[in-house]
Amino acid sequence: MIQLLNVTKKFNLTLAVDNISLEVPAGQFLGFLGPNGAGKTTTIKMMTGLFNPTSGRIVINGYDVVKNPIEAKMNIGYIPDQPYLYDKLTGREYLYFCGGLYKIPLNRLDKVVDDIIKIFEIQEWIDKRIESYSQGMAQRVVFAAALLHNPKVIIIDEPMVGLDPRSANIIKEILKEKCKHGSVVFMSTHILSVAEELCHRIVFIKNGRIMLDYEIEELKKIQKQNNQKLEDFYLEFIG
Amino acid sequence: MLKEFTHLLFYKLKSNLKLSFDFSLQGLIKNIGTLFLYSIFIYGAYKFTFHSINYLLLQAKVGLYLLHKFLSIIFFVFFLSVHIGNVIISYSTFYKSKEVLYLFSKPVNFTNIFLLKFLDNFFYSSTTLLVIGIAVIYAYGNYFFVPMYFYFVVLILIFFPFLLIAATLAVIILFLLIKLLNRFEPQKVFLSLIFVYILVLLAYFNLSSPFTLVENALRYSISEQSISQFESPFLKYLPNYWISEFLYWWVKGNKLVSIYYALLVFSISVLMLLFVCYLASIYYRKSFLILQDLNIFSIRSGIKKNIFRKQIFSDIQQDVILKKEFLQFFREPSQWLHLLIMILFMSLFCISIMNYEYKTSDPILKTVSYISIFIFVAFLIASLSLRFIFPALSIEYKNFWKIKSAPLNINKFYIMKLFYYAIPTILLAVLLILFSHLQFMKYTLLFKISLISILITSFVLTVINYSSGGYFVNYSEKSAVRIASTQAASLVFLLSLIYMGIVSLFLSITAYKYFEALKLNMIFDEKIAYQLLLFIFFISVIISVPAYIIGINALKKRDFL
Repeated sequence: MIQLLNVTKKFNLTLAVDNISLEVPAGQFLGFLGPNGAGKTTTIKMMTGLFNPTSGRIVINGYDVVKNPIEAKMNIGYIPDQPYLYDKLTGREYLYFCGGLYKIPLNRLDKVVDDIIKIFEIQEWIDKRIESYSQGMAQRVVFAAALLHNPKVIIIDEPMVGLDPRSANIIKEILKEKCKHGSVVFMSTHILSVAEELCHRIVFIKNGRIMLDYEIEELKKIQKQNNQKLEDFYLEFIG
Repeated sequence: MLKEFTHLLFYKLKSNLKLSFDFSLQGLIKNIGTLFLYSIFIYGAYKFTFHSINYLLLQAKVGLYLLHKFLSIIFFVFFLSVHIGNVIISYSTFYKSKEVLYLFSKPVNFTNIFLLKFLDNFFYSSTTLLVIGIAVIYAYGNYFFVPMYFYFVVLILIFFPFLLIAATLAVIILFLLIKLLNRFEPQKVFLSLIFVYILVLLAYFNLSSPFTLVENALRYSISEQSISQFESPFLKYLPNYWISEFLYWWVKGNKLVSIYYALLVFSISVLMLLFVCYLASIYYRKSFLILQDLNIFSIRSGIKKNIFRKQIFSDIQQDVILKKEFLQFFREPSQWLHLLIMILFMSLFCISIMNYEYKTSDPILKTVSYISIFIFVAFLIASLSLRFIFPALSIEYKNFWKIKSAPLNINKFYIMKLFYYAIPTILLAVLLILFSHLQFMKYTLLFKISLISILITSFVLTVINYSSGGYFVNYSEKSAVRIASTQAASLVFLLSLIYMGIVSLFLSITAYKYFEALKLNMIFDEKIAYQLLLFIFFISVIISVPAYIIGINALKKRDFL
């Protein structure tokens, strides 16, 4: 579903991502971990078309992000770390706007929007302008908008920022459900407990390079052997 | 308190200086381009002012007094535009900027925050005006052979204080507005304010009509000073009057009266600044909190009507982008209010010249009259484009991630948005030409040429502003007014003026030949008009196509940080 082949990103002289390769099959929940400035967000931004890779290839569900950006993006649901939304629109208007961008026909969109509003429990304030939303509310709308078109690949940068425990729980359940139905979730996070709870596989990145890549069971074994928690393991890794 | 203020100012200047020195290729292009265009523009403004004074005094023989009355009217329009611009920009600077929100959470004196933002606002919006001002003042001074110290007197005692009065008055109006918003409905308050401005404008032009001034001067053949008996005493309380009086008495050689007016402007500006600081010390924090509570534009109330549910275009992407643009614009008061004010000004301009006919058979004067109106219309369109179209891509703000990461072709998005802005701009330009050129309607060919030229010009101005806005795009600034007052925006405005100059040159050749043929009862060769129109078309293509390509390439290739 996701293939990163020798991907490099340079900003002038700074090497942000250094020749990384990664393959994520359908149904896998991947945690992308690393310290600040490791290259997580840069990698995600290249996958979603916000950055152009300096070299290498990124393939999403068979489509090259650079050569076939429209087809590739049609398969992606992206949730950034900061929920910047058009704040003069209401939440509902924003969902219709996003549905339109993903070419969901209007006759289907009505139902899709209504359903997603119920799932995310945002009925109460969905018809108010986004500029009056708290960060958590906005984050829930971002999630709802990203899942409207039922994407095969869900890419998330710091999913739990600003969410209350109830919202976080709703989101976790939805993501697990998506994985069960064959979607890929590529999630960057600093919250290790979330990674441990949700992910099938954890990839550690540092200085733009992939340092470690473990299936969660494998990682748990190592932790058990060394009598370590994921947090200790992580702290040891980042040095 | 002063120590705290200098501390804030020091770090503000430090961060601004760091931002100003951009050594990237784009920054370098921007800086060299700005320097080059500013130089051309300064030279152009100098020449234009010099020759205009020369023409009015030596050829039109209006006399010194009438010349300064005309200057007074220009200063009034200038004052009002700076003032209204400041009312709008002050709202976002004083109440919406992140810096203010940050400083309000710190143990900082509120008057210091106010003063810091006031200066920020003042110097941010005065740079371009200063450049133009210097060129005009130098041309004026050079024409009348004034000594060097005249320029310092003008800059320190006249120019900056004049802008300061406009800016401080804007703050007073803003505070008053917030006070009223606390009691009355926003729509009523805003409409009343617009109504007051229209009244002021109408009253001013009623009391100080340039046509009446000229008519009185011609009808009674009276001396310069006695024309002043036709002036309303109310005009004497306006800063534009003081400045024109300062200039008039200076060239007349009566330095004492002249310095009196200069000191009047300077001291009024200082008093106004002190008064505004005092007002801020008692009302700035309060007004800030009122706005937080009010959430003035009823953002918390639910909106049931969803325009997205009815599709206008068959292409749904096209449809949702148009609706998003529409809602973003009409739910942002600083956008629609400013547009409304500009349209009102334009309407007033049209009404004031609609029935005016310059009765002369002199082809030069007729051409000047014709081309001045065309240039003014084009200038209005250029200002409108700069204010609303240049920031069109930047105001996508950080929300642009959604468009960039969506399955939407950026070329398609770019061209769609361009047309959403171009169509109303062209329509407005055509309407302006129709109403302002009524007196030229009988010259069918010339009227046709004007219409075609404005169609081309308004489209090219849209493309220049939109594409340059794409090239210099700034996703971290939310306020369209601030984006339209950046160095890059000034550069684009100068470019627009140069383009307009070229178009006007071709048009004036056509108009002159046409009026000359008319005077000599000869048949005008229409081929000439169409050939010159073709030149305008080629120049337009040469300017707009590269501008378009540069804009789209920048948008496509640049990373969205």
